[in-house]
Amino acid sequence: MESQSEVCWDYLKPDGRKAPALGLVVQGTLGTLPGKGEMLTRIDTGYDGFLLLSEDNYKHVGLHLSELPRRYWPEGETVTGEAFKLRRALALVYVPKAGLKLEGYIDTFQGNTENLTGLDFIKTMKLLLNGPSQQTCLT
Amino acid sequence: MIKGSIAKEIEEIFRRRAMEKYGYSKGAVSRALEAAIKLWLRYEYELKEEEGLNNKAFEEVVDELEAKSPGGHAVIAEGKLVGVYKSLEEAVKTRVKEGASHRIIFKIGEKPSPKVRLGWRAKVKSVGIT
Repeated sequence: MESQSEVCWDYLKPDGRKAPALGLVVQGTLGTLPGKGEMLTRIDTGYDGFLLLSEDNYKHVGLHLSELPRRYWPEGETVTGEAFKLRRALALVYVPKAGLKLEGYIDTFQGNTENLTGLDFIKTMKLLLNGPSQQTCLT
Repeated sequence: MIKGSIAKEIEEIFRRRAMEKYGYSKGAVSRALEAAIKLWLRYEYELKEEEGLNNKAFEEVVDELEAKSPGGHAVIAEGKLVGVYKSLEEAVKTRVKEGASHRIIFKIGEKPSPKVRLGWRAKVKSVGIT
């Protein structure tokens, strides 16, 4: 049973396998992503950043207009050892259903097509990954 | 045509791997070289003029800002410091010149981690035959 302060999202099924996700809105200089409603974004605890956006989304919302200096762009490394230079911008992200406003670094890299929320995003949250009901719940 | 020289031992490994992958033909090394360059291009970003000016301005003002306005949000555009704001919300709302292709916003004194682990999910478009 959900408490009054609990909000839940159904798991995403992007590629045949269901995965935990939560709904968010990115506030960029050129507008919000998505334009209306919220964007269901996969939670990936293997990514230790805040939010990774596809190159297209990064540009669409105007994150190139709130970018960090190149000195602060990090190097990303996959578990297989492949390294990428990430572009990084500072932005506000909202979780509307929970009334949360977060400030954090949004990353992308050349060729990236994924949107992922990482460990930095969920570090202040109490999340329940409810496998049997295929829902992510934030209390 | 690209010409250059690399260390002998790297060249030997590269030629051997290229031929193992693409066959013992004349074009094998060229195909492997093209795939290698595509990977490198993914790592290195082109520095456009406006972005270069903004980064140069950042390097010129960062020490002074860290001494005078720690914790503030600085905006750099058109190669100069636009202002320092109390919140990110205020900083983002500053006017963007029409046609601007780049702007810097950073929290003064904050040094983000230089490494990020991407995990298994991160996937990229193909860089060609490898």
